[in-house]
Amino acid sequence: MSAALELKDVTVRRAGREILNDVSLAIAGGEMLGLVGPNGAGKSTLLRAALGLQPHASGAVELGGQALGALSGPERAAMAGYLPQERRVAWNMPARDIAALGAANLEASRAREVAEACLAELEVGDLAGRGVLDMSGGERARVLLARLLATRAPLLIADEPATGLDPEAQLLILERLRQRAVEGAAVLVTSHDLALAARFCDRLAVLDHGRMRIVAEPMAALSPDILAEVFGLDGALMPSEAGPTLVARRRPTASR
Amino acid sequence: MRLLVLLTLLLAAALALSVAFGETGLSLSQYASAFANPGSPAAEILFGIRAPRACAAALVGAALGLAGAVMQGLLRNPLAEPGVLGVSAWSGCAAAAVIAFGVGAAPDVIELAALGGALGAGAVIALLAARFREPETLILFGVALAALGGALTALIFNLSPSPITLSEINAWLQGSVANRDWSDLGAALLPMVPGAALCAYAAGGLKMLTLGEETAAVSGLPMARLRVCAVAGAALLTGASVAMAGVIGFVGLAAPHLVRGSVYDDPARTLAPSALAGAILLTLADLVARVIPSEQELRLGVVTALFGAPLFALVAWRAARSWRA
Repeated sequence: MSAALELKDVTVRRAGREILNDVSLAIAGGEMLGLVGPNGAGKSTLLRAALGLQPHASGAVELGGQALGALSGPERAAMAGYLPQERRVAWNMPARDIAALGAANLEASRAREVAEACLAELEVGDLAGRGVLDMSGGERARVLLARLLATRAPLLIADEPATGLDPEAQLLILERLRQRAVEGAAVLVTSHDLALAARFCDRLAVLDHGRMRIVAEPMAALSPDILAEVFGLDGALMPSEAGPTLVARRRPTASR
Repeated sequence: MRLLVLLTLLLAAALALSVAFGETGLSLSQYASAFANPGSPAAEILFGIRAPRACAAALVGAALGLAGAVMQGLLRNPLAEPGVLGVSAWSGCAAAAVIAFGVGAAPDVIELAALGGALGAGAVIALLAARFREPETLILFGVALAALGGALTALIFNLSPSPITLSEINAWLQGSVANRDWSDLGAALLPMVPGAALCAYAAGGLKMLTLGEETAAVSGLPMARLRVCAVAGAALLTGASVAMAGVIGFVGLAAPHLVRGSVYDDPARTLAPSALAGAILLTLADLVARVIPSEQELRLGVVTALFGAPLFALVAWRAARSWRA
């Protein structure tokens, strides 16, 4: 079976600088893959290149085994849903209408049903009629994730979906994305929270200065060496009942 | 739907008021004779002069309201209006140019120049809209285009040899629907109908843009095409409005704000009510321009700015309070 998303030796240049350098990555249905790396490593650029939002200088991107460039807009939209890092919403539309934008290809009443189901899944069903600009940041983040889930796409791509939220909201959001992977979707998320990424993802891909350093199971991907060399941390992932926990401290600058 | 019915009724009432009242007072018997005898002087006043003028105001208001709603949706900016991309400025500049060159007296030349100026500026912005996703880029180019159009108009004023020409340009730029007849309305509809159709086609894209350019770009909608249609539609509507009535501000800015809350802030559903609200506003503004006693009839653009600015400030105040709450 072909991968839901495959990047083959993708290089992205911007203003003469290589943002991604020969990056390869594949993710299949039923898997949740976390993309981690320091600020500026190229995580968001990789997601944008995967969706055709960022042109690549060389290499190839395939969605469901087909070249990205050969797919029409609606075909791409049917194969991949995207939640960008930016959570700004221009107008104070009700949560139900915002979530229904994910299912815009459905008839309006059916799209509303799907939207309400996704809002309920994210425990904001009772806020369906409230304007998104009248909500807290956490509530709005759930509504925007509901919009992503409403796409029902086989590949779900979320850029920092849990950043800036309280711990309960972070866990809820990652649990729901995990659930979609269990149900068969391919889920690709970026995260700065290494412990959370390690807890919820089947594999982690570590980007460092635009290069793919390693793609492996969390304990291997975040080995003490990688933590030290890529993230500048002295420490390790420690197993615990709730999942891996990161025990680390910042490395002195001189030892990096 | 209820909102559309309500606004349509209000527009009908505004049109009726605008036809019923004017500078010349009519007695009840004269109103009766106007309906009974189509050839009477009263009928000529009501249906030959006031009715086309009222309909012209309504049509221009509708076009500006719709264009304003499209611009706000496209640019994701509540401060956007038809003039923000320079379309009004170039339309006004082209009209001023033909008046200054002394060819404005020929039939329909000013109107065609105004429409041409709007379409020229609209074409530049539409090309940019196809190329750039970010609204900030369009706004920056639009501001530059508007500044250039404004500067050229100022240059025409500067170099104009005759004070009469200056006064003509000035009067035209301040906006009016005086002396418009039914054939003028027919001519204005020619660009307005396709303009409105393009805006209606772009409506779904405007709704998706609520979530930002990138989400819209991967939504499966042909966003580049929809952006071009939105700009072209707004340019046609604005150009036709300037051709019909000169440069009139505030209606395009204020009309969408008056109705937005009633359609749950949905940019697509804001379009039709904005057109109706714009039509009501401008019909009433023209009525005010006619009935306020003054030596010289007030210009429509002046009235809309005088009444529109405080009204808009009130709307902004209420919106700001709801955002803060």
